[in-house]
Amino acid sequence: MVETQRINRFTKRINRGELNTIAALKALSELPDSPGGPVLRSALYELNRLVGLDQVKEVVLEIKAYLEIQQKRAACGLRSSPQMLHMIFKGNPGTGKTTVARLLGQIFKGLGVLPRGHLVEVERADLVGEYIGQTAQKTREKLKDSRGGILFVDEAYSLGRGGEKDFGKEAIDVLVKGMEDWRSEFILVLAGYRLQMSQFVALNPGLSSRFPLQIDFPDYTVHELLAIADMMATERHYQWSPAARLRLERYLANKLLYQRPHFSNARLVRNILEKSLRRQALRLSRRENLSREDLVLIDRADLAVEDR
Amino acid sequence: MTRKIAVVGAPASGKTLFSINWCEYLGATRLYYYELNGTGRRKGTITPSEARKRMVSKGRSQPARTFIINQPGQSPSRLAITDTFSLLHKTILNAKERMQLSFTLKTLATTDIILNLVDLTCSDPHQVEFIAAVDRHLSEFSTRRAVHYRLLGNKIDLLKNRSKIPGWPVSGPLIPISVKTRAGFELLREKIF
Repeated sequence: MVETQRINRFTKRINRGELNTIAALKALSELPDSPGGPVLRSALYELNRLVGLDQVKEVVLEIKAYLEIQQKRAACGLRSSPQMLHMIFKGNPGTGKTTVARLLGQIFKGLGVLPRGHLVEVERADLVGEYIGQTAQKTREKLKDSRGGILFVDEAYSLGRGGEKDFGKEAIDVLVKGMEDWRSEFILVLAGYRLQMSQFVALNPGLSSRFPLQIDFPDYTVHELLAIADMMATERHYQWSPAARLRLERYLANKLLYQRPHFSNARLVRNILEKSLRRQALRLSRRENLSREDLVLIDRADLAVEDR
Repeated sequence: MTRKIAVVGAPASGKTLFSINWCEYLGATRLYYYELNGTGRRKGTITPSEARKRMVSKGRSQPARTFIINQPGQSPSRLAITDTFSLLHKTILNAKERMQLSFTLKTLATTDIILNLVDLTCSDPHQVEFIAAVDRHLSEFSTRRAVHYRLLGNKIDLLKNRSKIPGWPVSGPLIPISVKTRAGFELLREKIF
């Protein structure tokens, strides 16, 4: 039953005077949830919490809305057209591609599109073999593992390198065949650097039409990276001192300016934070009588970055 | 994307003042709002100080209001904070109160975060029992639906001994706040975002 219908039926009981406040809240807490409801809600909440990625969030909302409308159409006896949900993610490292793929698995599970919604993350070495016949077998095994969920091929462009004789080509063929054979049983996500992925798709003309959803993961801005740094620190019950935050901001601005496209975005921030926490621990271990504030604060000297 | 927050609580627990002050604390200088009362809907834009003057009425029946604020560059970029109708400790509700309860429960069923405000200065044992029951059901509901739920103990500024928060029979940790002085807002922000 559609969620709103369920709630409307429940509120009618209140309007008829059958339930007072406590009885209504009790009934609400016992209200059976639609399949995957909590999973969907939780995944959408997590997606919402991700810093930036506005375009990605918009696309996810569009897909969600489309699937919900198709379900409603089907309930009214109208023809509902299945949509190809295989995707290409283009973006630099640390821009959230794997995180979003994992959440998409949960969202599609919540929407009833995928029964399991798990993520099988692979790279070239997991699909491509060294001998004739090995590649097809390895790739088919991964396809089998991912049935009911998402097969996420990281640095997928590497399957296209090495020319005609490379076994990567064979892996692509098996993946494409899997997309046809198990059309509605799994979702294939090919991910990698923006430029390389564009070249990869251009060199394999059959791919473009099979991946109608091509999502761009832009580099984070300095402002967004700082928000990520704050969030990561807060989650671990730490806090950047104003001086440390300022130094981090300058460092990230420099990195963004000079290190594109090899800038590792949120992953760089996480590495800096983890190294800084070790440095802070070392600094504090030399002191006695530590206050709560001392234990929380990451100082400028703790920050694991090099000044230019 | 918009994140929905439902603010619930008994009458005079500070829901409206909390909603306005929380919006202001999050950086909003103007609040877009729409409200629902027994006779219809109204919408508009208002400053937080004007909203405090016009909308806060201690303990009197109030319309339910949703305040929408934008937070550019932050995640989520938009918040919809619904100041719901008060939860009434009554055995029999009249038609208007039933409509209000329906609205509150509909809001709860579709929200992302539930903030339940309780008045820490309340000493009526029947009311405390009611608040504990409300908390228990909301806590169960939020666990089943994977909704974020926080219990906020308001009016710590009015407690004679602030370090001693009453030991209420509630489901989990209570975040002590003062809606009036905004004490505890920083902690709340950490807990829900």
